[in-house]
Amino acid sequence: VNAIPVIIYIVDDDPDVRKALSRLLRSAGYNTRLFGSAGEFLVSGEARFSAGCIILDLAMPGLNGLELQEQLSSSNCHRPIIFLTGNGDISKSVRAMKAGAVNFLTKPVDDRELLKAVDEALRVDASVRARWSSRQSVSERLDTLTPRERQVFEKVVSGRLNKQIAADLGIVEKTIKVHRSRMMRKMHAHSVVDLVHFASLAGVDAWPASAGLEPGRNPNIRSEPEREHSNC
Amino acid sequence: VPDSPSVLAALVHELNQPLTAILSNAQAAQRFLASNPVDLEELREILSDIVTDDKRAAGIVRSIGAMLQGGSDDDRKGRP
Repeated sequence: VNAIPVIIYIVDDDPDVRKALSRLLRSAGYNTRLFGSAGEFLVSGEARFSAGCIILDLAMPGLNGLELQEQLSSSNCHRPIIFLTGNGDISKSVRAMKAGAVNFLTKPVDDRELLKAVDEALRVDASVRARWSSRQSVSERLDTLTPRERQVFEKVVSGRLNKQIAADLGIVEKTIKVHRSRMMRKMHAHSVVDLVHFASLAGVDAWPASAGLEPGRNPNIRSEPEREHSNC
Repeated sequence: VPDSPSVLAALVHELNQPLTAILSNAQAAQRFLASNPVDLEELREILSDIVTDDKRAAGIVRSIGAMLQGGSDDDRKGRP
């Protein structure tokens, strides 16, 4: 998607394990960064500006793997996590998976199993990033609309026809058509289907068809706290 | 008196660490060997780490064995 480096973060309190896992990943062509504790990793803020995934030991002294997962997720860091565990604790693994871990492997881990999990985690990361970046570009395009074009955008995605929009906004249909074609051009939309897709990416709720008949109601624009930080 | 089952569980858990390091090091070495040119310095370091972790694992196994025989650390040190 972009040129930012792909890095595999290894967080494990055992230096020998860190080093060995890092070698294995390097032998497969990956860049790695090593951390001896969850706290160290969190403080570094490293995962924020790169693509990749996190290989995390479940049972570490201090902040454990599950707690780190919670903290990352509450700071809107959705970097995929592969958990490594020594004892295969079922209840913990269920908790980790429910919280969005992409995989859960038992130590000692076979190379093929680990590399497969990493490959899968990187694919998840790439698709999250792609969705994020297209969402960001949609919101940038939305920002270029004039207030009038924005109103027309919202009406069109809610399924209103030009004639209805003209009545809703109290302007002639001919003018609506001008605003509409400018708005479509600015949004890089070729059809209403494109536009509805963009609206959902940007979190603009489309009106249900029936609600569209109620005058004076505006579509909600959902606030997205994720927007600021989801790059992490 | 130490709580034997939990100490034993901790030792078993601890044994997993060198075993993990050994396996990943050995498999990394296999992959490095397939590359061209082979980085001999890297391989030397890997082998040295495998030796260290094997000894570490052996030490843990000895502790587990001593516990299973019911001996304390002091008893064990007294034995030849």
